Amino acid sequence: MRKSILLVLFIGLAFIPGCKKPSAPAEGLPAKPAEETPAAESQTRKVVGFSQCTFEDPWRINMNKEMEVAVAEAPGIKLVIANGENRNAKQIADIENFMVMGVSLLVVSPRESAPLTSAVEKAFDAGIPVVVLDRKIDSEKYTMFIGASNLEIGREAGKYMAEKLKGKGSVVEIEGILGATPTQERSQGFHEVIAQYPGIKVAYKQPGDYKRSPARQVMENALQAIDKIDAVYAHNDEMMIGAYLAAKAAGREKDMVFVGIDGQREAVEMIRQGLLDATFVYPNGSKEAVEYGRKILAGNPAPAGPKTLQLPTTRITRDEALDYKGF
Amino acid sequence: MTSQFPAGNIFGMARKLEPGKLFYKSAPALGLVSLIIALTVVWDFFLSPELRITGKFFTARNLGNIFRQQSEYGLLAVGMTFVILSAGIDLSVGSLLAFSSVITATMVEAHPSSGAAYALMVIALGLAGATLLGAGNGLMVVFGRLQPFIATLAMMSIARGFAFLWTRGRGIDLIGDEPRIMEFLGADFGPVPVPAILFLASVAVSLVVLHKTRLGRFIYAIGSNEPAARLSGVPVDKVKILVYTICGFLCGLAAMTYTARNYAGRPDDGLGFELDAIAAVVIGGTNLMGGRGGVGGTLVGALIIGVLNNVLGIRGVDPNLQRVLKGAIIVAAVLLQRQRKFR
Repeated sequence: MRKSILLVLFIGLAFIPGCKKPSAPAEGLPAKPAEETPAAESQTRKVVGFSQCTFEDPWRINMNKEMEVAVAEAPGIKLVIANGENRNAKQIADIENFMVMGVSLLVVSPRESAPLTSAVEKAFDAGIPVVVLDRKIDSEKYTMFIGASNLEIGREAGKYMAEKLKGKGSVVEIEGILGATPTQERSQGFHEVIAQYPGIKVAYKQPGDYKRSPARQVMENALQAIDKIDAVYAHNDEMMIGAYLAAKAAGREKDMVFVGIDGQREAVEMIRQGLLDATFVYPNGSKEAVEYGRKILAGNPAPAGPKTLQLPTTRITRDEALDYKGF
Repeated sequence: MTSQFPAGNIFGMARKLEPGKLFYKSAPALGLVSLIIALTVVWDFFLSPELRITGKFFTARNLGNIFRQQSEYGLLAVGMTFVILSAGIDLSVGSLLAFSSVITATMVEAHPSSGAAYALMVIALGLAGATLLGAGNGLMVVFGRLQPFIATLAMMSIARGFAFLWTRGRGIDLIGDEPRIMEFLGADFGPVPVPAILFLASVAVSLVVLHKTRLGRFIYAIGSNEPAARLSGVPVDKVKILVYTICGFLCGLAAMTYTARNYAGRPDDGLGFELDAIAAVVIGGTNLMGGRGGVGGTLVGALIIGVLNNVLGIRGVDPNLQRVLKGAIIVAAVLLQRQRKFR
């Protein structure tokens, strides 16, 4: 209330002749000689809108954080992050709001491809450069796609597993959410490689929904069902830890190789301690998105070349874990 | 159902006849036994050649697994039984679990190597947090005159929001912190998991409270006919607040074992747990309209779900088929009870 009265007063003051000029500072306020500069700066400061599909995920939170850090180093860019709350409709509304705000660049990490395609297309058609992160949309109407390949990560995990098991053993695979694309690709890539080793078989395969507690339950059942388990392949680190806890409770964790995906901090720490074996970093691409966004905002035209930047994965075993922290 | 069958009183009287009552009361337990026989003996004889995996069901470790896996849902379901018996519902149990779990985990994380006194304080505060929010549910229902569905739906969002605010969305991990002062809560005591002991103890205490105390009779009275209970001098408001508070406390207890068992507190944990808890209560024969049923049924209901998860799990059944079977068996369990009731 008090604030709004002050505001009205100040606006009123601006209309009084004589007070208009910046040379006459009002009511003992320190004179601001360069009154135009902040206004001018805020106009040249370009707004980047980032439509994140959800905040309820450590990997996504880290993605936001890394993007904020990258933007802080870039002068003249202001970052606004919207939380899609894991609902397509909310994320579409977020993108529409960014268009109304008049963002100079839209970064979007879609919750799902198909439902978000038209919203992203609309923004692109309105002349806003669009960087798509992590999950693609079903259209060519974007400026750049930055993401990692789950298929490739699955293959890398398979190669490591085959090497570690020396071509022989029975594996428990703990899948993510059934039907989700990352789950399918992380499984497919792994099986492509494992199929080349007749001595290795996936003896047990059940979903753990990318969460620790369900994965622990899956592993408890697997330990009950199978007498000899040589390795665990979990579609993310959180589930790898869940499987480890179950195996440890049964006193069988020392006989097993544990391989996960993501590069989560706790998993990296456990790899460093020799409790787990390896994880494969799934990069989030926020740094690359900001870097690329800066180029576009600086007036460089979008490159005519490939519109896709595929980020490589990094394998973290005990050696790499010494310098790598994870998120 | 009484509206469909005007002669509801007759069925009500029929239940009072001893054999009918016995059937009705033991229906969930009969269901559990027949389920175990069907899924172990019959399955092994007729179906197992097709399936490569046949994990052994009757081992101490496996039975321990079932209890361990079900104890958190079970604790929530016991709390839910109180609420449903009073003709209410509590949708906030999963959020309360997450809330209590993250506040506990942050306190453990802050001083991981402290002694027993600190551990007790952490546990007390964790329990108090969930209990307070549970009481909040009761206050909203009684003084706000909100329908339990709405009040607890709001609390579901509020508690979840608190959990995220508290951790700023981060998951709290206790995995590297040795010694873990709460580890015993998720550990095994001989062959018996501690969470299972807490679950069974809560069932035992609830049986006494519901059947041997005035509070128990008040809860049934309110659930059967609230206006009548009020007229006959039952302190309806007090009892209702107490019921939601008890449910909150049991959510806190579940959160303690959950946190200790997973070495973690995650603000997004416990999503959808309210449905599992309600399912256990209903399979156990407690009427969603209130006033009928009991916590013994809930124990059996939780075990039916647990046995089902376990047996399908240790046989490596296709997870999509598992969902279909689970849904079908829930329907079968409820139908079985209804038939008993009509006899």
